[in-house]
Parts: sequence; C-alpha cells; structure tokens
Amino acid sequence: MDDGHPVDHGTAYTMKQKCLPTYLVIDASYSMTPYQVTLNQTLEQLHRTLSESPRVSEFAYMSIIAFSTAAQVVIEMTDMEAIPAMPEVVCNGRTDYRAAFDLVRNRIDVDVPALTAQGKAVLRPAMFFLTDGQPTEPGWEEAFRNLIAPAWKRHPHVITYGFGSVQSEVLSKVATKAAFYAEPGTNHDAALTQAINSLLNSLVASSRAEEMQIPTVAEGYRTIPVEYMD
Amino acid sequence: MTGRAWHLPAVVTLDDLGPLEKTISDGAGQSTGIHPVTEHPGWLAKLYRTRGGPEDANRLDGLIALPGTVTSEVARTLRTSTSWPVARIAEQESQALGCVLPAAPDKYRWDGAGASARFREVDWLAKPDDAFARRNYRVPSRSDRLRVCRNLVVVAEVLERHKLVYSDWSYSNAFWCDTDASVFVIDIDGCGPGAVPNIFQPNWDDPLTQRPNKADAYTDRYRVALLVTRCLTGQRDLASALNVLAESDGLGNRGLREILLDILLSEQRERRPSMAALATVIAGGLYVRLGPRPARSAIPARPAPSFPKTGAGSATRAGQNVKWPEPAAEPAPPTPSTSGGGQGDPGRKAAAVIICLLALLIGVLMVALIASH
Repeated sequence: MDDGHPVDHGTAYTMKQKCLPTYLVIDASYSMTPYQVTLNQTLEQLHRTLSESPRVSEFAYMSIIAFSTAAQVVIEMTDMEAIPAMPEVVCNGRTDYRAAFDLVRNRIDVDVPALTAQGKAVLRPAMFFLTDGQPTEPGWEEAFRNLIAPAWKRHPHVITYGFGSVQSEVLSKVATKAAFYAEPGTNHDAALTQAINSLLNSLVASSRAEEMQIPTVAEGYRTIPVEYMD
Repeated sequence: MTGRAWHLPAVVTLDDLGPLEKTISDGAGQSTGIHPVTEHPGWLAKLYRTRGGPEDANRLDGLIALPGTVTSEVARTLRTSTSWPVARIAEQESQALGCVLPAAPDKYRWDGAGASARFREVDWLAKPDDAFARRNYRVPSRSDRLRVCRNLVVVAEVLERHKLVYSDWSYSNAFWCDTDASVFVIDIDGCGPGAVPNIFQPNWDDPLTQRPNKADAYTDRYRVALLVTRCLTGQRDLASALNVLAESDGLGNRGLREILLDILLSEQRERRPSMAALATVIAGGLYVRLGPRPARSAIPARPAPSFPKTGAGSATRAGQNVKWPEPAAEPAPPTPSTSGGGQGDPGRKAAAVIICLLALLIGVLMVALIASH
C-alpha cells in the first residue's frame, strides 16, 4: 500500500459490479431421452458462448439445475467462464416440478448472499424453466407459489419454455414474466436449441443494459399469457 | 491499417459509396449498422441511428481534417491505431448520416485471419492468466500487458493533446494484437472537442462525473486509467483491481502504480494526472507530481473470493441426471524389468557388451594357441 492517508468522506468508492443470478432449470426426465444429445450439445454451445464473452458471463452468473424424479444442481452459481467443461446430462426418471422449484428457492437463499459477499450489486434472480412434459408429481403449484411469493424479497423472475407434451395451461402457471410454447409441428431438437438461443439473447441484451431484459419473442415459439405477474 | 488511401472526397453521399454489404455489427449501439463498402475494400460505412445536424457535421469534419494538420507521427497514430473517419456521409448540406471508417486489420482477430473470426477485444486482456490457459490461448506476459496498455495510452494522450474527448473507453472499444501488442480503438468517430455525451457503459461510470453531466477530459482520464488497471492486473472487479494494483510493484515501476491510483482515487477530478503524464510513466519515465499528492478516496475492501463448484453425481439411478467425465487415470509407474530386453537398463547392457568382448578375446586366444601348435 502507498504511504498516504486515504480520506473517507462517507462517499468513498462504493461502486459495485451488477450481477444477474440466472438459473437454467432443465427437464431431464425420461421423455427427454430422444433429445438428450441435442440437449447436451446445446448446453455445450451455451457454455462456449458465455465463457468466450467475458462481459456477459461476468454480469449473468449462472447455475444449472436438472430435474426429473429429483432435482440436482449441475453447476452452482458462477461465472461460466470459470467452468472448464460441461458435464453430460442424462435423461431418466419422472417429471417432478416441485423438486425443481423447491431446490431453486433453497439455492437463491444461498447464492444471493454469497454474491453480495463477493461485492456484487445483485439484481433480482431470473429463472429460465425448460420442459417437455406435464408434471407427474403433486404439490408443484404450491411449490411455485412459494417460489414467487411477493413477501419473499428474493423471489425470481420466471421465464418458461415448453414443447412436446406439456400443456400451455401448465406453462402459463409456472411463469411470471413470459411463457413460450413451441409452435405445432416444431421439431423438438430445434425447439430445444431455439429456447437456449432465446435465453442467450436475453442475457447478452441484459448485460448491455445492466438490467434484466425479458425476451419478448423466441424463434419457433408462440407467447402464451402468464397467470402470475410480477 | 487498410494499406489503401481513401480516394473519394471528405463528404460523400450513399450513392457515391455504391453498394454496401451486410452489416458486421448487431446494431445495438448508436449506429444501425456498419457495412463493408463493396467497391472500396477495407473501408466501412457506419450509418447513425439518429441523423446528425450541423453540429455533428462540423464535429465530424473537424475529425476528418485533423490528420492533415498534425505531425506525421500523430497522423500515423490516428491512422494505424484507431478507426479514424475519412469521410462524412450526407445527402444534404450540414448533415451527418454516418461516416466512412477503415476496417480493423485481420491481425486483431483471434487466430490471425478470416472474416468470420472474432476480434480480440481488450475485454479479454482484463482476465487473469488462467482464463487464457483454460482455453489453450497464448498467455499474455507482464510485458505484453504493459505494451498493449502503453499503446492505448498513446492514443489517449494524442486525443487529449488535441483537446478531443472520447468518453467511450471500455472493454469493447479496442482490439489488441497478441504478436506485436498494437491496438486499434474503434467508435472513434464519436470524439468531440471539450465535452461530449457521457455514454453509458456498465461498470465504467466515473464516480465524480454524475449523469446527466457530460464527459470531458477528466472523465477520459479516469476511464483510461481504469482500462489500463484492469488490463495490467487481469482483474475486472473494481475493488479487486484496485487492491491488486495497490499491492503490486507497478510492473517494476512504482510510479506507474502511484499515477494510476492518483487518477482512480483522486477526490477532485481536476487533480487527476494528465494522459501526457501517464504516457511518460507507462513508457518507463519518472512520475513527478506537481504540488501535493491529491487526496484519495479509500480503496474498497477486496471482495470475498468465489470458487465455482459443480454438483457431483452419477446417472445410474432414476433422478440422477448428471454424469461428469472420469478424471484421466494416472500413468502407472515404471516397474523394474526381471528379464532381458528391459528398455532403459544401461547396467545390464554394459554387462552384456563386456561378456561379448571377453568371449571374443577368449576365442582369439584359443585360435592363436591352436595355430602355435
């Protein structure tokens, strides 16, 4: 340190770098098995794009969660540039939305304080939910209400993408900012890729604006009304 | 540098330019697009989102004329280290629809060449060495970082000397070459005399230039110092960069550390040292303060480190959906060889040679003995 006398007038250097904690929650149930290769390729592309865009990855920290019969954290909240390689997501099991929502809620309470401790100005978390099927286990509606409860100050924005056998009525109940449903006849592999591209575009725009930019369109998807509004 | 001179006038119409190719930018900034000019290879037409009036036209004309009025050294810096505009695009008098700029040379692209390769933005230089190593990119040395920063400051000093404010210093507006450490500053057509709009760039706000105040030379000094500090330290987080800088040896130049801290922490923006002073110090010269050292704000505490973690698990049971690659097995240690032919057993080879020589000698002696009888 230099030998001066730094002066703190109470308006000292307090600028913090903004950070958008982003959760990518992926359906990895048995019905996704035919698209497992595309899913993993798309995640690789996501990782590659983020890790080669320092400005985006330092703003949009990401955690990846896979769910089926249970939910598990694939990658904890981090700058994706720091992750050397993506693991393989293997599809099996049922479709337990409740497990996914409960895990995200728990992780937000861990991740947001951790990011704050790292000196970041943390924005409201964003959850991107990707599913191809109906929930198979009960309790998901209550778990979602718990996740987005206005009384919980860390409740996330939720953007949902659905294709395959999931019904639009369900999608509209598990989103707060936007819900997208694949156009009829859309190839499911293409639907997966386009959902991740939409997510990426949103993160790039968000990093430029230094605030969450909600996607308004997703190629190959139509927008459906959401039941819960922030 | 394009290697070709601009042959059209300093004010051109879109018709004069001829056909334009597809934009190379995404149109997210102050332009709707930046288009290669088909009939003038190496030149780009930047079209503004908002049509400029007389004030913008005059400002652009001043920039375009500048290289013709300065020393050859300054002109060379402007032409080779920036996308200095060479013509204003207009359909009417005193109008600025856009401008013509030189394209950045291919040496500023990753992997050297190819129109599809991305440009190497200084964004990447503001990363630690292990970020390069993880991707098998050549890791910039301390000398590389210093040389690139020096070249950035050369441009900044030229602008300040001619009373031009850029304001747009940031991660995305300069490219660097990893072989000769040269730089190419883009979006330079936004420069202006005195004060210019304070362009919003996340994480580059000058704490002593509150919006909506315009950006001026003091703002530029702050942003250049911030860019240099981030590139020298490889730290993007401001608190981390300041702490690393303060604890460093200034890359062997304590004066460099001090002048950067003076610029970044000075409580009075007017006391921030000039770009001329920074250019001198970063080139190895002494840092000489005129008057008392400016009062500095406190350096914020270093943030807690973060360690990325990945979830463990296997995919052998339903509900277990993640499979991590197996770590590469350690090579087995070499085992001693118990039979002949062991590779790398010099003792046994020497013994075999000696035995052969002895056998040969015995054979020669026996022949000699028999012959003597």
